[in-house]
Amino acid sequence: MARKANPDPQELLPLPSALFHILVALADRERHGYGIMQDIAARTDQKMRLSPGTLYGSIKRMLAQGLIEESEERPDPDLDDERRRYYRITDFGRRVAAAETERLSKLVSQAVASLLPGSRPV
Amino acid sequence: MSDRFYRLLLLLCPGEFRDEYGSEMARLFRDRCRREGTLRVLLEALPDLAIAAVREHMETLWKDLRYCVRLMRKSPGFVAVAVTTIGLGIGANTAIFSIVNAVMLRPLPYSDPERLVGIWGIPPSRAGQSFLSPASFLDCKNQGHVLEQTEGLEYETINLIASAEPVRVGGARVSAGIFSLLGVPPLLGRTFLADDDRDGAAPVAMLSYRLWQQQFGSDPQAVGRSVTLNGRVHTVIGITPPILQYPLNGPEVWTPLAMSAKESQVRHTSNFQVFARLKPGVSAAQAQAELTAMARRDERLYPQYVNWSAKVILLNDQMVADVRKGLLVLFGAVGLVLLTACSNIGNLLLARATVRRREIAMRTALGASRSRLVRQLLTESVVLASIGGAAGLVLAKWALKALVLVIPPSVLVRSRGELDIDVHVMAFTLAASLLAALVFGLAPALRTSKLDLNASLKEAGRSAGTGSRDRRLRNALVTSEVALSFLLLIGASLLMLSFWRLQNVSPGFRTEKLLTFRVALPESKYKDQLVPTGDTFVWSDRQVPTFYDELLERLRSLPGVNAAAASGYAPFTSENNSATFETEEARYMEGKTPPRDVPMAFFRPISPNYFRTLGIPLLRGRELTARDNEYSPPVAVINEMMARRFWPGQNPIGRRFRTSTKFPWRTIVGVVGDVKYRGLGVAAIPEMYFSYPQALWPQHAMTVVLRTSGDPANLAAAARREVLAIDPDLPIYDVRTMEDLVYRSLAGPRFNMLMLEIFAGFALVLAAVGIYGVIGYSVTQRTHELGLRMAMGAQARDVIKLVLREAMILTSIGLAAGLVAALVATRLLSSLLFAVRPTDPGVFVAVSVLLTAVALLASYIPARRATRVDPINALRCE
Repeated sequence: MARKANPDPQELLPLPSALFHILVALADRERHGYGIMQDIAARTDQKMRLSPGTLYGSIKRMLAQGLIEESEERPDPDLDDERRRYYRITDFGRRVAAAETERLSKLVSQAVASLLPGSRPV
Repeated sequence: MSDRFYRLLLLLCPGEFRDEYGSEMARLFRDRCRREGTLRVLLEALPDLAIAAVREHMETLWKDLRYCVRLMRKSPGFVAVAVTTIGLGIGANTAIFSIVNAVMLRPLPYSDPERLVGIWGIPPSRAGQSFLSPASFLDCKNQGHVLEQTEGLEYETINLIASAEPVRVGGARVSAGIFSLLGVPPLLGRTFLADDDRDGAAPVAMLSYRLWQQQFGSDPQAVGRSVTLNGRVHTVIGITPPILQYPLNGPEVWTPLAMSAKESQVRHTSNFQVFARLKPGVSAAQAQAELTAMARRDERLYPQYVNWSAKVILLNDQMVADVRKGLLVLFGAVGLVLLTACSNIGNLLLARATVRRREIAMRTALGASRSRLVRQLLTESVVLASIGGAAGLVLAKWALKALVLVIPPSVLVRSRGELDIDVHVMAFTLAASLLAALVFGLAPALRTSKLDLNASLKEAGRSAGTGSRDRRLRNALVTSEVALSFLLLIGASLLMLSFWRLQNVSPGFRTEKLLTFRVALPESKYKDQLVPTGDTFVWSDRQVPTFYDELLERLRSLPGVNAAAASGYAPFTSENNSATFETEEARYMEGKTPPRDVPMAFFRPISPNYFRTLGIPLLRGRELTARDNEYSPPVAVINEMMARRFWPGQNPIGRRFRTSTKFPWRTIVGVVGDVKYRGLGVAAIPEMYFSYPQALWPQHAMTVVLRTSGDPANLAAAARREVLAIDPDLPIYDVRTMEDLVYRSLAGPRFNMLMLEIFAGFALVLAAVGIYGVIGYSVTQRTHELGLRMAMGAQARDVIKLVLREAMILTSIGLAAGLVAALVATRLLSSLLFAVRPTDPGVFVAVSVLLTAVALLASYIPARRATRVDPINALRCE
């Protein structure tokens, strides 16, 4: 699929929540599939656990959209000797994640203003 | 264990996705199982995987569809040809399937139809099946242990006066339970009660839906009104729903049977159609066994039942018995047409694959797997077939409208007027389209996707991919087209020859310029009895013969009428009646054991001048005249077949026979030629003609036949006036010319022939197009070789010969394959053929010649083109 040279992050918003979580999980470092899943589970108090179909379906789409890219295959020292595929966030992915974060915080501010008058947004 | 299960489930996903992420997904699954417990993860992962599989498949499909639409936009010509071909093929299949569906597959609209049976008598001659006598009907009703309920009816014709004009309608006297037997409630009012079905009960009637519309304008107040049926006032108690058309022969007026004690003893006439419901769990075979046993017993008890047997037929089977064969042949034939169309499109796709080789190679180089390519190519085929299928559906809808005009009535009546495209037909069309897509798309897809990448990319753009396997596949396809069209052409030609022979069968009389119509005197008004007394007969009132004598006298004096006569049962109608008899030489009726083969003949009460009016040749003796009446000694004229069967090698004139001990002996005074009363294709059987004042019973209903000098149809109005002049309450009905009757009698064979001709014609065109395409392609491929040959001095003639030889080889192989198939398949046709053997050598030779000629013609155009190859150019471009 051909990608535009300078894609606008706004075109991809709002981002499906699975995609946003994956971007957040990859923001600080490269991870393999199981690592992404674990990270998301930890962030959401174990409430969100991605199953393989959802995770790799999302990864496939994000690769096509240029949000993430594959880094080299290597074993995870914490798990076993099997080689795993690692993914890292791209610059474009970072910009999209930032744009989505901004969109969400605006939404949260508005929600706080109308639902919880008097308190200040975090 | 669960790991392996998960890997197995991964097969649900598209190959591309699985190849890319399958092992990662399995690993993730395993990791989670280790930490969180197998069952929990499995329960989560299963729906997740199912959703992912569907999503990935839809994504691929969507991509393929978009690609396919882009591609099709680029080659509208190809799409038009493919869609038209497949549309015609699917349309024809859908139309024929609609008929099969309406006639054979739809269950009867009665409750528990699989337990409903018809009970029939099998006459000693074993020719066909007959209704039962009133007494036999009661035997079945009262003694049949395996039958839950048995009901019967007698058809009659009724002069109905509801408003002003008297009309003639079909009616039925039915036993009261017939409606509950079929499980059909009345549309309005009530059905008959046991009380109505008593001798002497107040006369009541039910009307058909159609009659209620026509005569009462669908007025609900019609129930409770009075109508006059055959001169007797009846109260209308209910309206029957329209679904009662079949198995009942479309009666418009229903009255209770109300049998008299005397009628319930009658065993010498077979006038009751009998239906029964089997007890739950009882098979038709068990019922058959019981009825056979009853027939054996009756044989010993009643002499008139000697050699009779009984037959139980499931109503579902009875309904289609006589049309099933023809319909299945048509269905098979139209399936062959679709196959031919598929071969043709397969060939088109292969030809296109050559053009697309570069594109395919490119995709392969970019990492598309073979299965991915096959999938995409098949998607294209499915899209083509779906458009074709949709076009076919529309086409079939139109075709059905036209088909209704040519479908024989015997088929149409069984479709119960519901010949339409319903859910089943649509499902069939969908299935046929998908199957067609697979048939025409799979081989080219497999072939196209498997290519030598290097060679293709290098050669791309030029005449690449001339692989011999490619060629072989195309040749195989076109050969199969030739074989299929050969098969269809043979079928069509056999039916054509058969029809031609059937049409040329002499009916035994001159059919042109004859008008026929029927008159039925109501028995309530014409209360005549014919009593045999020793040597002659006595008429109680002589109203019936007087009426017909006067009518014929009046008709003869009409301008334009050359001759007039009447007969109880006319040719090419289903009206027939037979009687057993004994000859003076071989008597058995008084006490002796009847012979194994009881003498039987059809009898026809006729007026004077009957033979002369119809043009039936008198072979010996004399005709029946007005002097052969109740006062003179009873006489008979017999047909040639009867003379030959019962007095072989002798002169039958002066011999005597009688139909029962109650009737006087009749002397044979003449022999006439055989007449094909029951249809041109049905062999003549023994017939005896009696003068109607000397018939077996008063002949209230007769068919009048007029020989005219001009167009017979013009005399219908005058004839009607003459009838009304004698009795103003009397309608005439079934007004037809004899030629029309003959034409109608051939409706079945004509329909089969017409359909097969259309199918074969279509297949022939497809085969011609196929040959043209393959040979044209081959010429293009061989440009270099042909150019070289011409450079070496080959003449145009030599080149043409070379190309035609290739076409002839393909055609010959196709013909040979078709020949083998035809020798097997045409056997299925044999019961539809008349005086033609299914392996008629003339037909086989003619069809082979025709196909060869068409193949030569189709390949001549590319052959001519080959001669225009410029040797220099041809050599340079290599």
